[in-house]
Amino acid sequence: MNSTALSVDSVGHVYGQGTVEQFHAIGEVSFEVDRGEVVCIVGPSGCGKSTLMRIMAGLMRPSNGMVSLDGHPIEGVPADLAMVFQDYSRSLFPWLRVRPNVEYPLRHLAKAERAQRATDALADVGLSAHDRKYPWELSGGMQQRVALARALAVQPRILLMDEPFASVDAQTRSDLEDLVLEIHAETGITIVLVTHDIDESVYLADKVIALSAQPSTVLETIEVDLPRPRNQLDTKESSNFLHYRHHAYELLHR
Amino acid sequence: MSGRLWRAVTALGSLTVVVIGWQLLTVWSESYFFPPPSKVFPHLWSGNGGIAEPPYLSSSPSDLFLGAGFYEDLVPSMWRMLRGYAMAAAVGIGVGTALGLSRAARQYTDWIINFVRAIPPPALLGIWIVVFGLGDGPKIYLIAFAVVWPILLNTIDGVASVDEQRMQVAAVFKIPFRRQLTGLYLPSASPKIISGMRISLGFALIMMIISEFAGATNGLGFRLKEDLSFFNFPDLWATMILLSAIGLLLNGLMFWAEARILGWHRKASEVSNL
Amino acid sequence: MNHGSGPSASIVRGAAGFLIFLALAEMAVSTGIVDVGSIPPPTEIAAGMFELITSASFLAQVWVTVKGAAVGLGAAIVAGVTLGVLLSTSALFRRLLLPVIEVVRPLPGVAYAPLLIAVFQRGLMSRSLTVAIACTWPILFNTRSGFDAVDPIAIQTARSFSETKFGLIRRVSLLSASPFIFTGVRISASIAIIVEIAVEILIPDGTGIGGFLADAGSGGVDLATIYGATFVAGLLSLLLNFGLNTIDNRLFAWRQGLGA
Repeated sequence: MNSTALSVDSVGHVYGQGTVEQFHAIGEVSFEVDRGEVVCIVGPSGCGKSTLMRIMAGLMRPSNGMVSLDGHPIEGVPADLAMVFQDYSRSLFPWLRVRPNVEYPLRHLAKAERAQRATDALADVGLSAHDRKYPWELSGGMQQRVALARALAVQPRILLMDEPFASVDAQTRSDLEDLVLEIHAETGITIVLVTHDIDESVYLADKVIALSAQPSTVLETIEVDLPRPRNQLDTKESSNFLHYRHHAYELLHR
Repeated sequence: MSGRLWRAVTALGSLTVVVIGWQLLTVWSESYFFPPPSKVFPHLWSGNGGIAEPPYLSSSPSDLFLGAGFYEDLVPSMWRMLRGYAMAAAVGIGVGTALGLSRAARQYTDWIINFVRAIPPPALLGIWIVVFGLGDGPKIYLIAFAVVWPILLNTIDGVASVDEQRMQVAAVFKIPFRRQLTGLYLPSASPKIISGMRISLGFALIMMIISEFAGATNGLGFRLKEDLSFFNFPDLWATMILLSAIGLLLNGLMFWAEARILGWHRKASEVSNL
Repeated sequence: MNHGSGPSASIVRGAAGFLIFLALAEMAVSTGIVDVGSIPPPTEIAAGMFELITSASFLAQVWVTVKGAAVGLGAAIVAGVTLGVLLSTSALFRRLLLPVIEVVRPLPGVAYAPLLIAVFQRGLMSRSLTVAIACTWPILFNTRSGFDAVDPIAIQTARSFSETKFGLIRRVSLLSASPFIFTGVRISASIAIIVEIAVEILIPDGTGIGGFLADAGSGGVDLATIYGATFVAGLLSLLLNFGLNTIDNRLFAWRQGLGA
């Protein structure tokens, strides 16, 4: 169980290298994500979290260092990886209804298999009744559920989430957090989630990686030892939770 | 600055390549319809005697390098186009402002405008030659009729969508209507009006050519038709080149005008954001 | 809100305005305020239109015009979208083609008509080729701006699901750009009819609405019929607009999900 799934090894990134406007986004970042773990990367806004996420997804090449998944260096997007973007309204395809959106990454499968997986994934996120609507006809929280269903339908071994709940209201946000925990408990999928919300990171994670402002480096890796299943009331009121929260807050606001 | 220079150089380079390619292809094909540019370009100023129409340019400095075709065809064409365009602008902005100010007027005229606008302008050429005769009249009216729509519709849209808060400010300060018109409605609508006029200018060139396809005795469209009747292909190509140059010139003019207007627009919106 | 708002009011007023306009025209012409020789009364024009619409020989000419415009527009869609996609996705094509396009584009499409008539004779080929040249530009440029407007997040999303480069163009960029492309097609459809009729008038041989009008103008056909034919052409383009609008609203309702 505890073997390494994703390894980020001395990754650094400079935008526009060698030009006047060059921007040093990531200094040097290293960490490991074990199989079945939930890891949250937390840091101040503009600290290069999203850049790091795109490098982990294989959408970008880092200026330095490398990322490997299951021991293989990442070059291009790995097949058993899925990603949920912050901006669901732009990441879902407005020309496709909900079900074809979810089926979009499954083109290589047979039709029946595709339909089955989409049905399952939509049921997992509680959207079975809305599969014939267009995404823009749904509320923000529901759209992000569609995006999550689309990622789950791939049955990925690792799920990357880039500030997935930053664009929804507080109530919806805690619902979606619990949905992610539920799915993790059921499938045991490895999850890496980027957020700027300290509470969210402690609540969800086995391991919180606190990044500094740009050029970002790892301030500390906090092992979060809170019992699962977690819930919004008991977990967030426990003294351990408050302790981790306090510690992370101090780290990031130093 | 150097970027601009570089762009000019590459553009000129590619133009040269196109002309050389054109020359090689036409010489190789020996097609009667596609004379080589080495034969076409001289037609711009020398003609070849006989059936050729008067050349547009002249090799003599005392004529300011302008040939008889310039005065007999190009100037009348451009003059008709200009008058048709001016007429369209006057009617479009005038009527458009009136309709933009009143919603009831817009609603009552909506069907009429949509019906009349749908008539393909060339279809009117026949009637208007019968009605207005063979002079400049039908051609100017045809150009005006065809190009008035973008100006009219954009003016209506621009005047009708003046910011409500600004209208209330004008009402609170009891600004007289005339000054509201010149100080509020027309300036707010001007970016849209200009953009309509820009679209119309390109269209005016097309309509100028079409208007001379029938019932004309001079003009560039007439020349295209004559060259076809006499199978005078070097001259046909020379006229096409001249039309391209005019099109390019009009494009540049529109680009320049829009850049100026957009500059004004940007400054204005900066001020209003303060 | 105040009176006169709402869709029903605007339809009632639009229809009323149109009828009032026709009635005034009828009165003006029949009372002699306007010279009867130049504009026949609307009732006569309507009668002329009806006569034309029920005449098989005129409908055959309408069909000639429709066919020429449609074939040309179809060719322009193929050429415009293909060139637009190539220019948007390949730097090499941009380098090679853009300078050529800049040189060729300023020449209005109708100016090609005499040359094309000389090469291909009068007929469908020369007419629809002219139409195609004139109609390619709006489609090409709308395809380009559609591709420019594709959301980078949509592209990253597709790539995060291991989409291929070709699939990215076909399943993401082209679909995302399709409302823009259709706008280009709508603009081009009006141009198609205008250019088609213009070419028919250039060297009239009695075919097409333009040919019919050119013949009628020179040979003793009464004015009401000529106006009638002109308004039939208007009706044709009105119908086309309406049809394309309907398709646009149906097919691209998802447009509101773009760039929200």
